[in-house]
Amino acid sequence: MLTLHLIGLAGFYLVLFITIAFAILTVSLRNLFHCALCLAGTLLGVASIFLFLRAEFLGMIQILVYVGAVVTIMVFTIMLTHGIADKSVMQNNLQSPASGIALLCLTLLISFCALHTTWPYNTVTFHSFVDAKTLGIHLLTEYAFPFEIGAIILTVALIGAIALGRDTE
Amino acid sequence: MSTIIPVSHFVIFSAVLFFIGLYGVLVRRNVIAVLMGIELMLNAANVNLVAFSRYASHSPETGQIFALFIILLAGCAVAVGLAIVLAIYRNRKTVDMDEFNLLKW
Repeated sequence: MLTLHLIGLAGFYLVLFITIAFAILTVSLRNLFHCALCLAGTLLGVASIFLFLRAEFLGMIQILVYVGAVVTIMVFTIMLTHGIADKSVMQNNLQSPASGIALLCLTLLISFCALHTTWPYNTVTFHSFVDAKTLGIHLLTEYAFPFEIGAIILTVALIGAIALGRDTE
Repeated sequence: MSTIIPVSHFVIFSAVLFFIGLYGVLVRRNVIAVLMGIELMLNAANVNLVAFSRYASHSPETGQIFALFIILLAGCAVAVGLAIVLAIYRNRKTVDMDEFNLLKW
């Protein structure tokens, strides 16, 4: 029982590490199509973190929407535009070392602050059960207004994307 | 006997993912790579929200609904952003961010 628990913990930290590794590959590879594939790997890692946190509906929606639609439309656009992938062209602009150092310092600062804070903890919430039915009831009763606004925004965004992207000749 | 993963680990992971995405936005020259960095930042915020909604909130579904709306808006942002990229590519025949300098002084 203890061994199984330790294996579970090790698997969780392995998933965290793999997600961070895919994210670093996403922002540093030269071939843009490889970056899109690593982004899909990162989003799958985030979906499995949602499953660890027992937000199963959100994890499935993440896979459907992000990996299934957002990465697909990015791959479409990568194929339609001719990017800079030559070995002699530099793919980062001139702020690469300075921003790398600054963001590393910020990461260490936030990690230090997060480890030395006493975060609140609610036992009832931790052991509660949220499923798709509960989310659906709350979306349609308590959060109905942002739900409808979100639907309007989605319609407007898609019409705008079609209007921007169509061939006007 | 069963140890609970402390929520600070989720906060640190979310911060690391956010700053990797921010590095991608600041440093990359291709517009589509910048959009990938934006997606990483939004996912980091989602992880943070869902972790706190599981550990420390009074209603455990609020964080998940917030994350659902963020997924929705991120999809809209990517759709409109990539339509803009296509329109720019049609005009300027390049997707290099250093070439988009018409508004520069």
